This record gives sequence, structure tokens and C-alpha cells, in this order.
Amino acid sequence: MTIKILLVAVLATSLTYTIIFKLKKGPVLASALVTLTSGLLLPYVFPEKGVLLATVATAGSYAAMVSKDKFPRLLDMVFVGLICGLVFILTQEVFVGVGGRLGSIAAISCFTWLGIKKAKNKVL
Amino acid sequence: MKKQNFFLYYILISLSILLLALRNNQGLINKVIILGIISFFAVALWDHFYEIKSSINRENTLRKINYEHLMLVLGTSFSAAITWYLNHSLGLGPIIANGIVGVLVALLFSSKKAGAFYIASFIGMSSQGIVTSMAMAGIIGLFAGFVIIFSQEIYAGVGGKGGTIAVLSTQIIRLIMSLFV
Repeated sequence: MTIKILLVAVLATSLTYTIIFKLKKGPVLASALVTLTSGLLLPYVFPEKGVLLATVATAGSYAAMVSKDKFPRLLDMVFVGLICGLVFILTQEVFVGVGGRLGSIAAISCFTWLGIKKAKNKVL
Repeated sequence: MKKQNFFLYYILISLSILLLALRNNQGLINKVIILGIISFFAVALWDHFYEIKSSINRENTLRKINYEHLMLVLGTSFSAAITWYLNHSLGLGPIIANGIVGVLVALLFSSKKAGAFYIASFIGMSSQGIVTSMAMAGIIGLFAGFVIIFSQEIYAGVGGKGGTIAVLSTQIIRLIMSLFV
């Protein structure tokens, strides 16, 4: 299940990022489309854990609503997606039912990746 | 209200999630991973603080409210209430409700307004145990509208800013309501 969550998170961030910057659609439309599609499709494809995976995809789509200055490459989104999946797994019992929880997870993921990049630049 | 305060509130929301996760997770590996995330998160926040410091110093008080702001705040209120209605009254669930509202606002409004309305829509994704009625979602949406207006630079360019605003607004209004109800 962990692999599926990480995979869905990476797919959601990458897809949303591609729709925003390659297809030149706005971040809201891109995120909403990924959210809506995952909410409709994933519960049918994975009857048991589809809702959970759709929730992960939603968090991933929020995490990809970034500026290109801070996250210039698609590879950034792959790592943000991985961190997002990881943070989602680790915070499953926190703030359950509070609207915006997934977005907060997304913000933590984005900042964490920025922090890792910053640390890497200082060390290397 | 100073902008620094908003910055602190944002950090408080993000850190409280991580610290609660640290408390809830029992395994050593999980705790180490969370501590690692907290460390890198802190590094990036420090950087972000210096990035927005000049704008905080330049404009340290609340912006004046104009007609456009009022419309935006009303819109965020409606967006939160409609999402709550789709989520609970029509039983579509939070993700589909948020997706529908997101697509509609993106197609109907300018990017700035659509962003604000999409953020407010996160509030409507709350469970009924947290946000008990459509009216309460509307009130939280109204509050979130003001937070959006007064904290534009904070968390800018980072995905998830909207979610942090939604959690902040939801928790503050719940706290205020718990004092009176």
C-alpha cells in the first residue's frame, strides 16, 4: 500500500505540474481536474483503498500548485510527490476531518523539498 | 494585526501537524523520518522568512478593505458553503465536491478570484463532526477570505498555502464558537 500511495502522489504532482506549465492551464483548473478525476476513477479502479488513494492524489495536486521560480523542473515535483506521500502516511491520524489538512501536508512537502535543496547546495 | 503574526500562525499549523505526527507514530524509523522532515522544513522556512521580510517591513499593517475585497470575501463564503452542501447534503464526498467547485471557479472567474474561492472550498471538505452546518462553513469561508487578503506574500509560490489557510480559519472559528456554544 505504501508503494501505491507514493506512486499516486508522484503521479498527481507531476500531472498537475504538467497541466499548469506545459499545457498552460491555471493552477486551480489543473488541481481541480486532477482532484475530480481521481475522486471519480480511483474508487472504481481500487474498490478497497480507492478513496484513500484519491485523497493522496488530492494532496499531491495541491502540492503541485507552485511557482516555477521555486520549482523549475518536473523532477522537483517527483520529489515533492514522494515527500507528500510520505508525510500523508505519517500524518494519517492528525487533523482528520479538518478542511485544508491535505493542503497543509502539501505545504510541508514543498517546504521540505526546498529545505533539502538548500541543504544540498550548502553542503555540495 | 501584523503580517508577522500571520506568518507565525501559518508555521504553527504546519508544525502542529508534524509534532502531532511525531507523538502519534510509535516506530523509531517513523520518528526519525518526521524529525528529518521538521529539520528541512525549518531550513526552508528560515529562507522563506528572509524572502518575505522586506514585504513584511514595507507594509506592516492591514490593507484597507475595498469593494473588490468585499466581493472576494463573499465569494469565499459561498464557495465554502457550496462545497459543504455538495459534500454532505448531496453526499458526493469531499474530493468530488472540491473538484467540481474547483473546475467551476476556474472556468468562471479570474485566476486571483478562482484561487481564493478554491482555497475556501477546502473548508467545505471538512467532516460534519468538525464543521457542523453549511452556515458554519460560510462563516469560516468569510474569515478565510480576510486571511487570504491580508497574508498574500506568506507561503507564496509554495503548493498547499490554501490548505494551511483553510486549517487556520477552521480551527480559529471552531475555537471562537466553542467559547459561545
